[in-house]
Order: sequence, then C-alpha cells, then structure tokens
Amino acid sequence: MTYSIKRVQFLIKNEIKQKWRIFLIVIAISFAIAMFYYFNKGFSIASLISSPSFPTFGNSGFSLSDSTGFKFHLNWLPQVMLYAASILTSLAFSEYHERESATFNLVTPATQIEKWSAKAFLFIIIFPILLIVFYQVFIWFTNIWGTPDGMTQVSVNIFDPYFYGFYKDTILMQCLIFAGAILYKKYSILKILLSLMGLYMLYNFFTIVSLAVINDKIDLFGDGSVLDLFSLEKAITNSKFRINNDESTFMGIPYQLFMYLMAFISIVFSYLRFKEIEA
Amino acid sequence: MIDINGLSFGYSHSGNLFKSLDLSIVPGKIHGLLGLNGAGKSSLLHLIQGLRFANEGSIKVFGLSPMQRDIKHLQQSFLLPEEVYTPDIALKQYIDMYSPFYPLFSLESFLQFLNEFELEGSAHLGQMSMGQKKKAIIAFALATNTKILLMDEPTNGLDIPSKKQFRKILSHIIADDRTFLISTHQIRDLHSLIDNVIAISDGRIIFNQSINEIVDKLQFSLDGQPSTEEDLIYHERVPGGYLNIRPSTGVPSFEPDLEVLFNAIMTNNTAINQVF
Repeated sequence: MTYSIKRVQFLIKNEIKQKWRIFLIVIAISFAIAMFYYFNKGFSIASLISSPSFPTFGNSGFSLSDSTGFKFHLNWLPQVMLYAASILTSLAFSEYHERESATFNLVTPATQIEKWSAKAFLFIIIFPILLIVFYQVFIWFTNIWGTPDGMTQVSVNIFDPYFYGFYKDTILMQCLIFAGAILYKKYSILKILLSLMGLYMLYNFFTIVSLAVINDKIDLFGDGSVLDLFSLEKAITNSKFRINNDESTFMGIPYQLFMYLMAFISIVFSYLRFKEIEA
Repeated sequence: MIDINGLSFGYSHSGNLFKSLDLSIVPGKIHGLLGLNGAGKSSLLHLIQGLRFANEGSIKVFGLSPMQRDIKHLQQSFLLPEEVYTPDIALKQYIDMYSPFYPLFSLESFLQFLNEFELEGSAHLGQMSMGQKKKAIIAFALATNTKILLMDEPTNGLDIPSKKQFRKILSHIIADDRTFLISTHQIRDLHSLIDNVIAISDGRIIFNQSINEIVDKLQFSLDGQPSTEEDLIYHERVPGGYLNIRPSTGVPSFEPDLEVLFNAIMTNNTAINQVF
C-alpha cells in the first residue's frame, strides 16, 4: 500500500486553507456563547451549573470540588467546546457531498487511505487540540477579568488531570461524528445528534435489561414508565431498584467498552464508506 | 492505454446506460467522443477516471482498475469536468496547493498557457468569470503533463479567441505517449484537432474510426441537390447546397465535416459501418 506522509501533510494543509473560515466562525460563536453566560449576571450561571439537573460530562469523576468555578470549567465550557468540535467534524466530508467538489477531490492524486487519514487526523486529533488551546486562552482571560457573582475564582489549566477524561471522551465522540459526517449528506449535524441519541438510548436499554438479569429487585415493566427503560439515570436513582455499588461499577465498565467499540466501528466504517464514494 | 471490456453501467433510476460496451484507446491521439444528450459521454469519462464504478465488465487504465483510485493512475490521468470546481482562493495559492500532487507539473508551461489565455497569474479564482475559471483550470490540466487528459465539453463557456488558443495549445502538446479524450457537442470547435472519432449510442460504441480512415473510406461532396445515387449514405442541407456522403471512389473529397458525419452515424449507422 502506498502511503506518503508528505502527501498527507499537503492534504491537511489544503483542508485547513479551505476550511479555516468555518473553523474560526464556529470557535468564535462557541466562545461568544460561553462568555455570554459567564458574564451575564441576569442569567446567573452559578445557579444553573449548581443545579442537580445540570449535565456533567461523561463519567470523568469531577467530584474533587463542588465549587461553581470548577463546575464551570469542568462541565459547562468543555460541553460548549464539544458541541463546537462536533459541528466542525460534522462538516469533515462536506466537499464530497457536492458533485463538482467531490469530482475535484476524488481525482486529486493521493491514495484513499492518505485522503481519509488526513481528514481523520485533522478532525479527530488536531481540531480538538486547537479547541483545547483556545480553551486555555479563555481560562487566562477569565483569570484576568475575574468571576461573576456566586462563582469562585479557580486556577485550572488544560494539563490538569481532571481534563483527561474529557479529552478521551471528546476523541471517542469525534470518531462517531466523523462516521456520521460521511454517512449523512444534508443536515448532517442534526442527523448525527439524532443517531447519537438513538445509540445512547439503545445502550441504556440494553444496560438496564442486563442489570435486571442480575438484580431481581428490578421489575422492568411493573414499576414506572416503559420509557424509564431508556433512562439509565432514572433507573439508577429509583430507590425501589436498590442498586448496589458493584452493580454501579457493572454499569460503568460496559459504558467505556461501548464507547471504545463504537469509536472503533465508526472509524472502520468511515474508511470503508469513503472508499465507496462516487461523484 | 485504456481498455474497456464488456462494460455495463447504469444509474439506479434509469436502467443500464452501457450494455457490454467495448473500447480500446491508443496513445498519441486526440479522440473525440460524440453522442446525443444522455448517451453517457460524461459517465464514460467518469468511469475511466474512477469517479463511478462499473456494474459489470472491466476498465483498465495503464493496466490498473480505476475503481482502486490508485496513485499511479491518478497522477497520470486528469479529468477536466464540464463544470469546473474552484476553491475561493488566489490562483497562485491553487498552484501551491494542488501542483505538488502531479509529479510532472510544469509551472513554466502553466504560466505560458495562462498567458495565451490572457489570464494573470496573480488573479483570484473567486473573482473570475466562469469562462476565466475554466481557462485557468484548463491551463492547470494541460500543465500537469498527465499521460491521459479526459475533457468534458472543454470549449463550453470559452469565448471565440480562447477556443482558438485552446486548439492551438492542444495541437502543440499532444505527444506519442499522451492521450486526449474529449467529449463534446461543439464538434465544429474541435474538428481540426480530432484524430479519432468515437460515437456512443444506445449504451455501446457505434463508431470508432480515425480521421485517416474516414478520409480514405468516405467521400464528402457539396452538391446543388441531394444525390440520388444508390450508394449514397447520407445527405444534409448545408449553406451552399447539400453535403453528400458516399463510399470513397478515389476522387478527391471535401474535408470531412464531423458534425454531418455524426448526423450520418446517428441516422444511417449500418451503412456507414459497412464501408469500414
């Protein structure tokens, strides 16, 4: 198999030269949203991120501090950045969904694996890293500008171990979105989000059903709504189920395995699908 | 150089476009690919370049299957589509970005072709008209020095002086190891260039002859009225009378009018092919 690093470098450079505008626009909008919530006192981000219903990122175990400052940096901002990265990655194959640009790109003399790997490297690795660098810049600014009412000043940086789980989950998520980007031609970000929701519900369903096998207190259809079958959180917090620590661990392991497996399948799928693209 | 055997291909919505199509294209010539709208000229070029995949049969370019999009194939074969895609960047940047992929690209030739098309090397693709963009990409395509150049309606959108320049450039750069396959409806734009006429209809090649063969075997004559001779193959009213096509009798003939020949192939293909 022919593989030239030099050609891959050219492909990456060309991709950046063509897409830098959209990259900057998405970054700018993300940070505008983040800063709006950070400084808008009427909105009170402190109360939002302190509320129990505010989503936390993955299973990264951000329990070392419950201060709103930490929650802002560990939950809210990374989520904004993850959405930004998702939007960018959903556009990874946009030029292959238009006939003229697809023709142009398909006939560019580079092997399939070179073209695919250039995109994979750029969207799954480089763009998230660039987002993290922008994040560090944002942290510096927030340190200079001070914090809004109700939020404690915190000193965090992107090399903080608390972020490692975020980085891992971001990369795994990017793999899934990367595959969606090649599968869906129109409204790719919406279709990808719907697909991810579907996958997440399926995962929850099978986890709860598996849990019911080892926990005879769980009556799948006799207690609560059938919809609860798709909500792992409701299942866990339902006191009648009496889920013990071992069973919680049991649920955490398949989540990680599920994510790694889906990421691997997505990467392989995206390459196979890429090879089949026609203009 | 290009060998197609038993090719079947179709779009899912419209049945088979090609049915067991065979074609062999030799180097050193400019081949004109003619056909009615929807006959599959562009699709054939796309199949040769690997942009579409055949349902059945085989296509070999330099002995390689275009479906693999092998680097050796892509570096030696350039497809100029009818509607060119140009990123919104300066022409100089375009060269910096894409010329490294073509090992035989000549910047000197590119600038020369640009000059002949009266384009500036410092121009921005986003600020060019469609015709200017096409000329810029034609200049790039020719400067890649690929062994195969597939062109889909290359003169569409070009002004009259540019068409003349295009013919001039093409006639100069054709070489024994290069092949140009040009799909066109504007046969009069290119009639002086074409060495070999290929006509496609009903999913197969219905005519494939060199201009030398055509001159040898067919006689074109301009007469005051349609010929009534039994061996007349085709006649068509043209400015100045009727152009009659009949088997050659050795009498010096008019230069073949490829547009009239194409009409003859479409209407009386059996008689035409019996002559060859």
